[in-house]
Amino acid sequence: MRSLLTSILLLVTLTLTAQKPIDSTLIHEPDYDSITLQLYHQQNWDSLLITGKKALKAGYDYFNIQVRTGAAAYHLRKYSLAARYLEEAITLNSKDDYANELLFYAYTFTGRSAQAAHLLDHLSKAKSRELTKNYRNPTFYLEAGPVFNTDAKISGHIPVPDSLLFNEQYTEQNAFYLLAGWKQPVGKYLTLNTAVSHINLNKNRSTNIRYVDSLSGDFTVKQTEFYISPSVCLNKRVLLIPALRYAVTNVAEPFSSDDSITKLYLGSPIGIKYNNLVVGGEIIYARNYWQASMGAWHLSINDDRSMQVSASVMVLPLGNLDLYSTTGVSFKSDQKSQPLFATQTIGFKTFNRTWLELSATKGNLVNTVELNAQLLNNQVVKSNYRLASLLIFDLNTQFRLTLRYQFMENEALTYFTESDNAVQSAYSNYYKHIITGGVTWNVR
Amino acid sequence: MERSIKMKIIVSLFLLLMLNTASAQNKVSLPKAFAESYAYEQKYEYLKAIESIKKVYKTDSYEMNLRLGWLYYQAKNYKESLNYYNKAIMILPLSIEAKLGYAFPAYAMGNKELVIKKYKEILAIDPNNYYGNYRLGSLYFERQDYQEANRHFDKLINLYPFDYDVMIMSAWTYFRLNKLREAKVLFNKALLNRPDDVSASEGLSLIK
Repeated sequence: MRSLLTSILLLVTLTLTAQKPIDSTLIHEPDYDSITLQLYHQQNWDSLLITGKKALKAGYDYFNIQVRTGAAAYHLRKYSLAARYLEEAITLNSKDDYANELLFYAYTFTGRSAQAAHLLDHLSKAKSRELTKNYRNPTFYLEAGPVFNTDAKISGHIPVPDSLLFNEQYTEQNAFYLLAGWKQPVGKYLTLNTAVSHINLNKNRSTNIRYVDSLSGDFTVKQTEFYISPSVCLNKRVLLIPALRYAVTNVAEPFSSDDSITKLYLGSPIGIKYNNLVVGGEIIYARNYWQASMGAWHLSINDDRSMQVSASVMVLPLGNLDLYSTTGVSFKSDQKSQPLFATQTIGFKTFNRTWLELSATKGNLVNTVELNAQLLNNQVVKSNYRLASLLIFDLNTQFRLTLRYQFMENEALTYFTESDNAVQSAYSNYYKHIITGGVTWNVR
Repeated sequence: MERSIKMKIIVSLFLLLMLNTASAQNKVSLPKAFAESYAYEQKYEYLKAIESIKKVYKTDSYEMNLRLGWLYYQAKNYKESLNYYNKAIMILPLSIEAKLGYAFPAYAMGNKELVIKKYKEILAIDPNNYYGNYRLGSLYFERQDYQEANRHFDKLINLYPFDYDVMIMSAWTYFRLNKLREAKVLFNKALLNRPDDVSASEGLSLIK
């Protein structure tokens, strides 16, 4: 009887409770739409970013909230974070000019101009015209500077035996490097990068044939290079960049001799012209906080053929270019003893409009390419490591000045022959200092 | 034993009575609940209006879900509004009114892709639907896709030749498409409907 009454009471309680449902949607929730709008008008970006994140977490994942949160991140210079929200926003309203424009600049300020161009299709004609005008402007760049090295001093001290029949040394004296380039967007998805560079390398060849002759002569190695690389933006994530580099190397003859014995020791004349060709390219996959690239190139340098493959990862931990890191590794098929070389670069903003980039490269760079064949290391001496720094100063929106310093450890080489006539070699390290200054003009 | 049977009968009768009372309460209170919600809505007390419906709410009721969708939209709780309009659409998938309703909060959220999708669904059911064509045309006009906007307004101008809204939107669309002769005719017609209309007069002044 008691249990029956308990059941009835329970049933009555349940029925009464059921008649008054507790509705969670009636419980007061913050009016995220109004709050975020107010914060947006106040340009209170810090609070807007926090509130926007909360709103999105609470399921208010709609365009207005996404775009305001993205705008807050953008104004706080967290461009990768902004891109994340704005990408969501344009899936909800693909034609919104404001969201697309912010995303355009968020991509641009994280070094993804090609991907930014993909957004131009989503903009109204007027806005598209305005942004296209800026986007299609050409960029000219110029870099030049001298190369100094300690080779002449060091190579004189390479320990070679006294009983030499013959010895031969090549020493680098100095060099001058000049690069001029032009980047031109062609249409929305294609950017053409063309460059021409020239290096003048002064060297010395000296030979000593015991009891016969001693010859020494300065000579110049002149190399003129042409580079063309169209970058094709396949979609907002993938960029395909083929590259072709052609280099003509002219080596002057330092001296000659009519004497038959001397001729025998000197061997073939070294004054010769080489036509060098590098063909390949890389593919870049870009996300908001990182990008990965892979590349492969076929090199035909000084009559030697080889393949090089490279991979690199760039990370933007702060979501902008105030701090970035690039780690790259390359494999060169023809260098059996040391086929790998690796580069680590760290760049960061130092002062207002000034960036500093530091990098270290370990490995042998003989006949290798870097930066998608923008740099050809056509060198005959083995390198051990390279340390480099690059100071970037944005003079204004159009002009950028750069100062680059590179320090390389190379191996100086001496050939010699003793009484057994076998050609031997001796090495000694020497150091190269390369200082170049550059200017980039983004025409507006 | 006899006493126990008696008690069971009493309890069963009590339970039956309770259920009947509850059911009667629902039947009686349904129109009352709606009436109450309309009254609150008129006073802009949307949360109370929502509460009135919630008291009698049944998940499978198209009308209640539709009403809640609207009231939540008025209360600017767009997330919930979409939720209830969605429920209404799931109950009656061919309902155009629920889809039109759904477009309100979606538009307020800025989710225009969703709005376009919904209007396209409406036009798939009813290709000549006035609101579907008019609002979709207006959205394309806003996006400066005048060709697409014209497709919808052109349809409406044939169905509602003297409707002011259709005439004026169609006139401006022709104007943007640089079809000035057609635009002029429609601006003039709009002035016949609303002789002091500022928009039509402005359009004509731009053509002249």
